Amino acid sequence: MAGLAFALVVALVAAVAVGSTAVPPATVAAVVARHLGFPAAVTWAPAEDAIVWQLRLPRALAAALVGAALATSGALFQGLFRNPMADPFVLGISSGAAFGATLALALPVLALAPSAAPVALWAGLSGNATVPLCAFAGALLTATVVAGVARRGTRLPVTDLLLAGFATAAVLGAATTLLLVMSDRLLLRLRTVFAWMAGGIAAGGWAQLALAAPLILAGVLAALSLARWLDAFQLGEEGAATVGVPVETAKLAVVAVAALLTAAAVTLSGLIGFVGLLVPHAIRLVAGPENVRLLPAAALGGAVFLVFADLLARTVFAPVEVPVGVLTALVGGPAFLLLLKRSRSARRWGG
Amino acid sequence: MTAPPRFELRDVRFSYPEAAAPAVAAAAVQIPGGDYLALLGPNGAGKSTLLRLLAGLLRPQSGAVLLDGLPVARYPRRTLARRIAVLPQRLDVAFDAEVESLVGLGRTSHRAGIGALWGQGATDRAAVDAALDATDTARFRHRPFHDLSGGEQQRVALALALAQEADVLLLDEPTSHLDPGQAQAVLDLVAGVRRERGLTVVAVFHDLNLAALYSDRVLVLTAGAVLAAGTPREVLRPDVLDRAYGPCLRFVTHPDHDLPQVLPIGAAHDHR
Repeated sequence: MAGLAFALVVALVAAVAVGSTAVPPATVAAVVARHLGFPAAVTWAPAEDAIVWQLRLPRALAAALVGAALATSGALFQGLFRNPMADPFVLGISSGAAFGATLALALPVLALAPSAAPVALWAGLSGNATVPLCAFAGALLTATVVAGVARRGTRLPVTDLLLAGFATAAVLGAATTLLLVMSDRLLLRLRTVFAWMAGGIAAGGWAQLALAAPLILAGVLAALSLARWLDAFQLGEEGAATVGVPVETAKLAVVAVAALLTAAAVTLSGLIGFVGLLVPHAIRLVAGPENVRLLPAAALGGAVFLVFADLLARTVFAPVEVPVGVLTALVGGPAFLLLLKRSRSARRWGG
Repeated sequence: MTAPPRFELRDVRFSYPEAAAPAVAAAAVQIPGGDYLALLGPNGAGKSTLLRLLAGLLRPQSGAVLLDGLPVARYPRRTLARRIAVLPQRLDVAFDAEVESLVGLGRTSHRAGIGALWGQGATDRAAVDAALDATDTARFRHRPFHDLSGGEQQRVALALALAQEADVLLLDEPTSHLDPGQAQAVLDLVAGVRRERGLTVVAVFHDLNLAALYSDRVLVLTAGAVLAAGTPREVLRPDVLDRAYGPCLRFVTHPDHDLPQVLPIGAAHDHR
């Protein structure tokens, strides 16, 4: 855990230091220290200050928050559905959140903030509470529908779950596109909207973090408080009930927290897939399946993973900036397929 | 005034959705504290359903299942888990957990608050250790559950149930996946723990002979209703079992224990 926390600090410093204009790590630390109120002699150019404090640090922090939210939500869904293949993206929950967010932006009745400027979309995504609220409703509704469709009596077979998630994601993706095409407000900013949907960390500065950060931190803490109940779900719903878990309450709480985290992540950065799948999976191999260890480690691991992924997405194809969601899908998709192929579980959980 | 029976079923009717006949229609069943009751009957007679009704996992559509005089439905899940532990046919574990942390799940109902997230209290640790010792699984404590044999896994499942420190143990065909040696090892453990802790045991049995050897009383169900109840000697007789299973059994006495045992009649053997 300490190792992961250290890795996160390293990742954040690296993400702020590296870029088209490199800033030495020592300067990064000094700039941050000065802005936090510590005395530090100013030895850097104003441009460097702006790059560090206005551009890269908020973006790196946004990536960390999104990674933490997605990995925690993935771990929650995996524990609840007793299935290492579950993930908010694969289950279509992210698409539900994206549809909800887009709906809020497209409907003038719902979106109160956005003016004409392109940046206003991001202001709308961050400062306006209706967007995350609609994203949350979309995520919650999708989770309920997907689990409801895939349920066979008391069982939730993995194939049915994945198929239901796939079909739901397809429908919601089409509906979201339809909204974009129909809405003049969004069509005018198609490039921005596209970059968001493809999983780009928004360059929205500190404003966008003001709402998302407390939501995600609260979500991770809430997830942690559910760890013991989630452990008991290892035994199945009936097994969890016999060891004393109020199963219906627990399911509702887990889905609500996972949907909240997914919605917050999607509002910040659109559809980023497979982080919620791969990070908890990797952590489980090292730390075991106990959620008291798994959940915080997954949150930290997800943060480290996405900060580095976003750094790569910014720099590898420079000057072109690739949405980080494209990168995680290019890496995570094949890893998911490999997991599906190798998983001895595929049969066991399907049966 | 005498204490109420541990369990009492009053006119319990339970039907699964879209099923024509009720799965259980038990008029009056009483299970006193400390009893070891075996539930017998042909496939689909409602044995497991009755067990789930006792465990509060199913709610009867009419009538009542009472635990110490109070409807099971009125107990909060957490309270119920401290009174009733269930040993399933087979523990279906999703992730590859270590034996010790799996047995620790038996302590779920004893833990409270956010503080319980980190580490186990001394009482929890002691209960887990005692459960591991009682089932002779302490030496597997750090092994992954999926690496163990069927018999070992079932002993771990029993340890999990014992860690709940409940005074009622419900067994759902606990030995149907095990070979004769493993099956008797698990049932011997249950018998030993029951003596030691004074447990009330209700067990669904498929094997009539094991039921006769291990239980105090047996209850035969057919089509959800009670056909007969009494000691193994009173119930494991041709006039009862031929009605439950058809005329397919021969009745003998166990040479060592003076208890009724059954053999298949083996009709085809005459023609060989």
